[in-house]
Amino acid sequence: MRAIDGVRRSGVGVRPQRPIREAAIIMDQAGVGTLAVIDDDRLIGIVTDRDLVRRGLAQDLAPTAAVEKVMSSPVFTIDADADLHSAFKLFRSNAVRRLAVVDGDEFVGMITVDDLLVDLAADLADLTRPIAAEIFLPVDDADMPTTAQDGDDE
Amino acid sequence: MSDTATGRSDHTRYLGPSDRVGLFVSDDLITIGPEATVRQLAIRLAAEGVGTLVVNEDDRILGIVSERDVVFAIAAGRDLDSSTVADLDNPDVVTCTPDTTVNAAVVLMMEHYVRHLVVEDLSGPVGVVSARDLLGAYAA
Repeated sequence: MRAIDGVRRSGVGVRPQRPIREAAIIMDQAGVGTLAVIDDDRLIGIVTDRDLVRRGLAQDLAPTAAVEKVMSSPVFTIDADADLHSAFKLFRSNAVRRLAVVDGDEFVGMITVDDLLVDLAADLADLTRPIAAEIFLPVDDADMPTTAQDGDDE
Repeated sequence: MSDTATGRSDHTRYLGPSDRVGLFVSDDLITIGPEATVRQLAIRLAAEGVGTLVVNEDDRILGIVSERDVVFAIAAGRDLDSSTVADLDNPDVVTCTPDTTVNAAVVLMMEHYVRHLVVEDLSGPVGVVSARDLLGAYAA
């Protein structure tokens, strides 16, 4: 799988000079908690709902303050065509929960640890179900009906 | 009884979907009053290093507020130093007990479209459990 296959939501961005309030409105309307901060088509940071609260409001910033004052920068990126497994490595070696997926210089979306976990859990469940059935259900070939019994329709 | 009723200190094995929610409950119930302003809420969330607080008044739980609610208040253009936690549009609280299984808790979250449950025992609320807390039970 490629990194782009791990993107669950299309990326949404905001410009660094825009006010915090606008970032909040975009998060609200798009139903996302993370925005890419984009300046002249260049990805320069990431801003999360947590950043708006902890670095913004809690630090006495007004909703008119610029997004760049609360964003995280630089951004950890991964190429859209990179193997998704390299995302796991990046998550492991850096204390981040999100990676920006880029195609060349263009930001295309976000990969989050949560999304990967949900996918992995679903895959694991698919894999373990047949194995669990084999282990936990009594398998006794001798009891399997191999011929029609009296009274059966067949 | 060990301290695992609310703590998570002595796990020696992976927890799974059939385990009790009590094993996942965050250590303390961190609360805020309904009269606190949205800015005080933000300061409290930052100081406690959490994403969610329980809103309570006289031992009664009124709701749950999260960072998202603060973002919605900013988006709505509210005056953050005069609007209060009570003004935020909190959904009803969904509760479970420490003995609820992880599976049942997840079903509750999905049915009510919430990411947090307040965990209550006979003495009252003991903590909050989040969807992310429980995710580990499925990934382990």
